[in-house]
Amino acid sequence: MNFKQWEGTETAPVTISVTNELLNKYLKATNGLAADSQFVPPAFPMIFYQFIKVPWLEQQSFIHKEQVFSYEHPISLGDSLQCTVSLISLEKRRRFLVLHQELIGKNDGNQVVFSAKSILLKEAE
Amino acid sequence: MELLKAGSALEPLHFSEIKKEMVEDYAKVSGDYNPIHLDQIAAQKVGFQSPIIHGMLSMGLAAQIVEPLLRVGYWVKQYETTFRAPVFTGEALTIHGTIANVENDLLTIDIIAKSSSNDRILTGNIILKKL
Repeated sequence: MNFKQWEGTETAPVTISVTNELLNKYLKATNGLAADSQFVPPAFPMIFYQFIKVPWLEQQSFIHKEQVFSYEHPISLGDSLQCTVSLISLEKRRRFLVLHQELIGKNDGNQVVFSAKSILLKEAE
Repeated sequence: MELLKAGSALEPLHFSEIKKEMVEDYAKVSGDYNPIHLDQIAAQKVGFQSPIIHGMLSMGLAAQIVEPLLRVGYWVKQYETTFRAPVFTGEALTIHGTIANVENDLLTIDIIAKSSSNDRILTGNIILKKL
């Protein structure tokens, strides 16, 4: 795949709702305790990726190297967030292709609620 | 809860076995079916001895070390990790946390996680903010 064609681009926004079902499945999978916190766990937004069409990730296998979640406000059950993913940059580092990408979630007022920056690696083709 | 001061250790968190079922459950809820997490041959093809757990599963598990603080009015402002080594399905996982900094309404916790085979599979920090 020619990843360079996607550098600097952003996916179409997708509205994602934090439902009871989604949160409970996440808590079960991560051995988390329900109802202990009024907010969702901090790494929860990564599961939003499955609802967003990210062309540079299709049919690709990456290794996760670094991850940063930053919150302006915590996310609660029932929240709806408009989410996009952007490919900030990519570089070749030795035998690896390194992708820097960011998932952002905004509220109804178009204010950023969270960002999730990822650094992903794969062997360069 | 004890006084929160820099240098204090949080209660460590231990998962005795990251079972295959947990990895499969995480694949289902996240939609991340990358075969290196689920298939022996696919994992070996990219140089791993056996399937590795999702980095985001280990990050989700590690975050639970601050749950006692979330129950007393903190929320997670930032959570940052570097994945330093793979965790293989079936391994144990232990998370240690130390309060690195206390400043006004912010609390920084340094975290380090180790598996059965590696003393440093994940390092990072969590910044908590008082409600």
